[in-house]
Amino acid sequence: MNRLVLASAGLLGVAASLAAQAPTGRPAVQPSVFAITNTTIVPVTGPRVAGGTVVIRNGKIEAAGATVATPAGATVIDGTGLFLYPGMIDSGDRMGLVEIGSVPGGQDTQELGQYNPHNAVLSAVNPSSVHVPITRANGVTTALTSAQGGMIQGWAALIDLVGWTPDEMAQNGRVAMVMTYPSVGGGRGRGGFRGGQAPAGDAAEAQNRQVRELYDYLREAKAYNARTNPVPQNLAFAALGPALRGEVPVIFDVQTEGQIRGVLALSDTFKLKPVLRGATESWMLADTLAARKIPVIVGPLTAVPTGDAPYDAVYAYPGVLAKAGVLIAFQTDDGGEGDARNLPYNAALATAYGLDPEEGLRAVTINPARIWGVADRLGSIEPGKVANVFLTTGDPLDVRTQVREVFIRGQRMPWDDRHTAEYLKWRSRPRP
Amino acid sequence: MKRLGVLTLPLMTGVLAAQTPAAPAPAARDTSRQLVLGTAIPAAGTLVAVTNATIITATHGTIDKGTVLIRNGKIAAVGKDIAVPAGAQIIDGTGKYVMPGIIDAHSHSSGEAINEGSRSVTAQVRMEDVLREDAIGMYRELAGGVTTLNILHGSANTIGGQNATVKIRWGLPVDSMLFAGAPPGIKFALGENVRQTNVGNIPGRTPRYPRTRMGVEELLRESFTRAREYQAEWKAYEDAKTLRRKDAKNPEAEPVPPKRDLQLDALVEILEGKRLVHAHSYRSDEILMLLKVAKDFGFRIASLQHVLEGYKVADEIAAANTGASTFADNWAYKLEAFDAIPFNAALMAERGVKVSINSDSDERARRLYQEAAKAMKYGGASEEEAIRMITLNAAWQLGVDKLTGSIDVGKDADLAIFNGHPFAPASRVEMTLIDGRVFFDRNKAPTLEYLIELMKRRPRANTTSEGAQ
Amino acid sequence: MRLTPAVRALSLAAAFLAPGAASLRAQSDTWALTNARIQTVTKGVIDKGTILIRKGLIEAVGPAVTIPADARVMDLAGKTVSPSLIDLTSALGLAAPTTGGGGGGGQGGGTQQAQSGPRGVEPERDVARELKVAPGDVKPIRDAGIGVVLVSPSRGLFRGMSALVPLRDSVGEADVIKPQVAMHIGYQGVSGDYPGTLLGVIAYQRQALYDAQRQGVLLDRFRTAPRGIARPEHDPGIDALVPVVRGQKPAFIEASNENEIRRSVRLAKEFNLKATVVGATEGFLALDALAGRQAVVSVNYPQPTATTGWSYRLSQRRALNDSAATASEVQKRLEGNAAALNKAGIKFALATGGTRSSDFLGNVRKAIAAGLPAAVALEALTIRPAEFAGVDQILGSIEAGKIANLVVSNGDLLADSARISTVFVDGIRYAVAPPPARPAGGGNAVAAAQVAGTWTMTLTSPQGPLEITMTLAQSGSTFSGTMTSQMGSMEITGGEISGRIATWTTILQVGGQSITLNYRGEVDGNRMTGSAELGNFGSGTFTAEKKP
Repeated sequence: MNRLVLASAGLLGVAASLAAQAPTGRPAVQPSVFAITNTTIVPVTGPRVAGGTVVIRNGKIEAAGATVATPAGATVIDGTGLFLYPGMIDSGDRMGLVEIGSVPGGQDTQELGQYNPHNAVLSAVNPSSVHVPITRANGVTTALTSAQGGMIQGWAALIDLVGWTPDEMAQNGRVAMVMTYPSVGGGRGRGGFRGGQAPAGDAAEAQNRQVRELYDYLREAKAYNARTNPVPQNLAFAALGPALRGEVPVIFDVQTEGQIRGVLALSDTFKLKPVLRGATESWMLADTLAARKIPVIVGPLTAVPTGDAPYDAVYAYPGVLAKAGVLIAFQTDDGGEGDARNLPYNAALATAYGLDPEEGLRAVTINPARIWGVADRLGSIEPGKVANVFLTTGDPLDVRTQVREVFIRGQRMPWDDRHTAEYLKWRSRPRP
Repeated sequence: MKRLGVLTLPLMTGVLAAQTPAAPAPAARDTSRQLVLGTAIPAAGTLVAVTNATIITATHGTIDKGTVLIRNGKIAAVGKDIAVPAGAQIIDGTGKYVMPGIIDAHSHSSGEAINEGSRSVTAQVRMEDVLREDAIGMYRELAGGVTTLNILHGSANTIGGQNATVKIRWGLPVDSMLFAGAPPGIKFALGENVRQTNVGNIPGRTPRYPRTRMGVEELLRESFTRAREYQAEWKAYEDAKTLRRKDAKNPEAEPVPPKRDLQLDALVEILEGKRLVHAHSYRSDEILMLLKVAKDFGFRIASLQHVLEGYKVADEIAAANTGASTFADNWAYKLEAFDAIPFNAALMAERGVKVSINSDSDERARRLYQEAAKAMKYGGASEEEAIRMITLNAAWQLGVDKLTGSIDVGKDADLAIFNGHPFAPASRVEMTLIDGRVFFDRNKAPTLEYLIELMKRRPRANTTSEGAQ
Repeated sequence: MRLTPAVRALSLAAAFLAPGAASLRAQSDTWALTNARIQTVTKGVIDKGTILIRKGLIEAVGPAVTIPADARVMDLAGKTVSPSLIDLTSALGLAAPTTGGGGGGGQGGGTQQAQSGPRGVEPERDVARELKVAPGDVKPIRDAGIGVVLVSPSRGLFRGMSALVPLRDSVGEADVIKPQVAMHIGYQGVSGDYPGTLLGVIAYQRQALYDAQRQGVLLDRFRTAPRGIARPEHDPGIDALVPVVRGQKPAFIEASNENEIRRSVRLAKEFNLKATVVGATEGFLALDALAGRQAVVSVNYPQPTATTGWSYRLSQRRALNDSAATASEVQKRLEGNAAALNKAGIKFALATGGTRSSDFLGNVRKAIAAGLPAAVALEALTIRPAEFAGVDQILGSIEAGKIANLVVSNGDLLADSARISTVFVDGIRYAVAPPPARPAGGGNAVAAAQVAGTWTMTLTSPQGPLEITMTLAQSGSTFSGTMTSQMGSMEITGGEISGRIATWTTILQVGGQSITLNYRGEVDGNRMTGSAELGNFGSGTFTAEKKP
């Protein structure tokens, strides 16, 4: 097991230096040129290249192909028999915002109040979260993290799973505005159980009232943003400016067909660029969504259908959307339980129930890169892109596949995540 | 609330009947059940053969292009070149993979109540008293290849309640779902849930003892001490009856039996090795504590459940002949789950523990085959070992390994038929058989694909957006 | 010595200074009902005959009966006389809930207080001693043709022993026809204590019955030869269960859906109880379990959405937009319940089971339309319940010597067009006012309580108190809405209002499972109190206030 050899070597190295003198930790200067040789390159945006070489320099992919030469001085990694994939992108979780689910002190996932467009989660992301190393260990290199609860949650951040500070981690700290849409019974997130405050008054009327409130709020925000130098400033309305100008996408965390139709109408009114997320009933409107080019973030597939849906409804809807021509990407909606690293297995379940496997791979790499506006630098193995790649023994959607190497921003990730370390330590407990 | 348009499916009665020639007439049953549950109960066919399939036996390797012959619900033969008698119902397994029906060693599906948490010790309550046969979660599990469930009491208290081992014979009443021949079991729990420290004090209610892990140990010892005393009382009574010892004052008096206590009855069964203990536990220290308590009182723990720190004390668990039933990679949701690692299952197996992977969730139970594959990824368990983690090892923990859990002659014909290797990414369950009867068939099940087909053929009633302006 | 009704009426009048004592005496006269079509139930139909009533009993009945001089004559030409009905599912006159009115017809509100009031574990509770019938509560029941009710508490696991009560305007303990008729058993847990959930309830019941078996043995020994042995503990609850566990006292077990029925039969088998299943609305799903047993079948048909297997049924709908069609199919099966039991040869009585009295016969007619022979239905309303209560010697049919409990209708009682004009109870004549004209579309005669609006609710359960905001919209006698708390938001389904009683259901999604929560509240203006079945979480009680 290369990964474990590396990890145990790392531990032994630390032990040796501890014995000698004060700990030195990792070297201050990391190697910056790598060549991964003789490997099967899976660019995703192009055909596979067998026996190819990929050169990484200063954080970027410098070259990738069958005839690429290994530069002098490069750290060489032999990829014989292995496969190189672009790092995967999870389009929805709480990365860095929660540590242990039962401990409120470490949770920054939900703010009070219904309307928090000016909240931006990036500054609350904990770069030292244990979930960061254990997630990237399975090749998930980038995550879209955001808050939940209420009607408008604020800015989502697209972060790479490496970095000493939140700003360093950020690919885009304000990548999308996150909202939901009112529904009778509070249907946001999985199973309609999480949700904002209760609608008051007559139930159907309550939902209508919430919708009116939302429309009123956005109208006021639009009017505010049309003014120059408004005094006093309204930071919440100001935060909605880019979304109202169509400059950033708006993520709608919704489930039901009714909510989705409401989102379409709202987006038409305010000229928003909607991205549906969750949206387990979106298959009912697949053709409409495809025609309007509205992307859908599907998943998590690790959720049961609502009581009256077919038993495989959640497994099968990504395939239905993809066949209709909708651009889909996967989210795990992980709330700190180790689900984010299982992003590819969500895609795997979908391929068992109708999704084309190639589309499944695209839906965790280039598709999310396109949706989040970072396709120029993420989501595939092409020269010039950021070197977010990982080396495997096989198909990343196959649970049995091992990950041998992970590179993020051209840095080779050490195998020092909590799980690997504990495994090695306890594996070496002497037998009786 | 305006909801999705409704689904349409033709009645399924009679379809299976057409496919089972020469099967004996099914036992008389109330046909209205079919209306309410919407399913045709498959006939108990005498002869079934699954042919030309890749058979993952779990005990003796994988057989290519093999046949499983089923007679009267039991596996009569398995191998290549099995002669199939005339009149058998043939299930064509070409291109398919057959594995033993999946066994979930930790389930709460179908219970109308899960936790009698009002007291710390409620060994007298029984899950079989509160089951219902129409819990949709069970159907989805059946559609994921699960055939047997260990339905457990919850983890709200130290000694929770008696389990129920069931087979998902969907469409039949609860009594017909109970796994005849499964030894009785009981649920213990240790750690945070039992101490109620994550819930905090409920205003107006006295906090329930115990609040610490040492209190949990004390409660266990107290309970089994009481059980021993009760056992001695009854032994003295039996002895007195046998010896017909005459009472000096009242020569006619027969000895009075002690008061029968259902709670202590269950605990005595544990002491006598007649009731299997399944113990929810996380931390290594509390695992060791429980193993010691059991040793002190002379009984064995059948399985530790969750046992997320089991990898730290795998040798001790193996030495106690105790099984471990764990998650593949779920962690960090509680403080006691913070040291959990996905290598847990493989590490414990390496040290000789019989490991199973369970769900403790109606959601996870649908895809245990994907979870088991993680034991190969994390820690390098072999494929057969990983298969056993959701079949034979779980059966052993439940005491039914002579009856099910592998594809071997003489065992119940509990099978899951996949369209690819169960661990491969694009694989799904096509059919699930229990006792040789097809209780799930994807071709006849309500699927999204089928729903969309129907909806294409009939226009739906107009649905408007909610609150559009 | 049994007081004659006349003397009893006088002593009542004297004891309670009831108004109209003179009219009481006037009513307890000797009656001759002539020219009537008499439906005796046990001895066939007399096309034209006379019933002679004296001292509260039927003195004679036949085609040619000599009418004594002192008899008041009622010419019932064109009318039918049947025995008045016996309803074995009543909570009339039991301690009222803390707010709202007393129980009227069918099941009462039955809220439980943590400190005081019944918790539901009182096998020794003797209903006969607690009767407090409010004036005006009797008439609506009697107007439906019911002359006698078996009163028992409506909640709990060991609810107590029932009393058979005549529906006279003024009725108290002295009027009870038979006390301690049966031990009533149910499946509701105790709020905030053991047994809180169904798990604990069944274990508790089994333990108590084993204790009672042993107690019986000890008591016998002590009675025959008390010297030299320890005396048995005095435990009124266990003592009350001793005759039950010996089959000497019937056990009435309230079980409605299929699984409840099967559980109750299992309990009866384990302890050899002389058990009657009460409710049995899904009996047609458990005919095998009920074989050889008897049931009191409620005609309070449950919502199709609450039937066993419904949520799965929904995922297998057979036609687009057919949830209404599916519901009506299931509804037909539910209405055909009694017919199915009859066909399977299971003995049963029919009962209100909480149906509003004015709807009772209408619901019985639905059962007849679904295949129950009318003659069997009439028996199930009269002689069968009398048998089940052990009073068939004195009630349940029109025979000389039996109590003069009769109902007069224009035509066959179970015909659609039947109108009840008079009811006799203990030989006392009560006029029945004609029902008010029904509005077009068959709306309710009694206006349903208004529940639309926002409620602040406190729900107390084994998990402790929970604040819930409930918002409702109402349409006629149905309502919908949401319940929101710190646990999240749930949609209300099956909201129904019958008079002042509101019932509804929510589904809680937790840990990948769906748990059905059922609520039942009694509305009093802007307040509601009631109880809830909380699935795994046990049962609880709630109070709620509506914002005006």
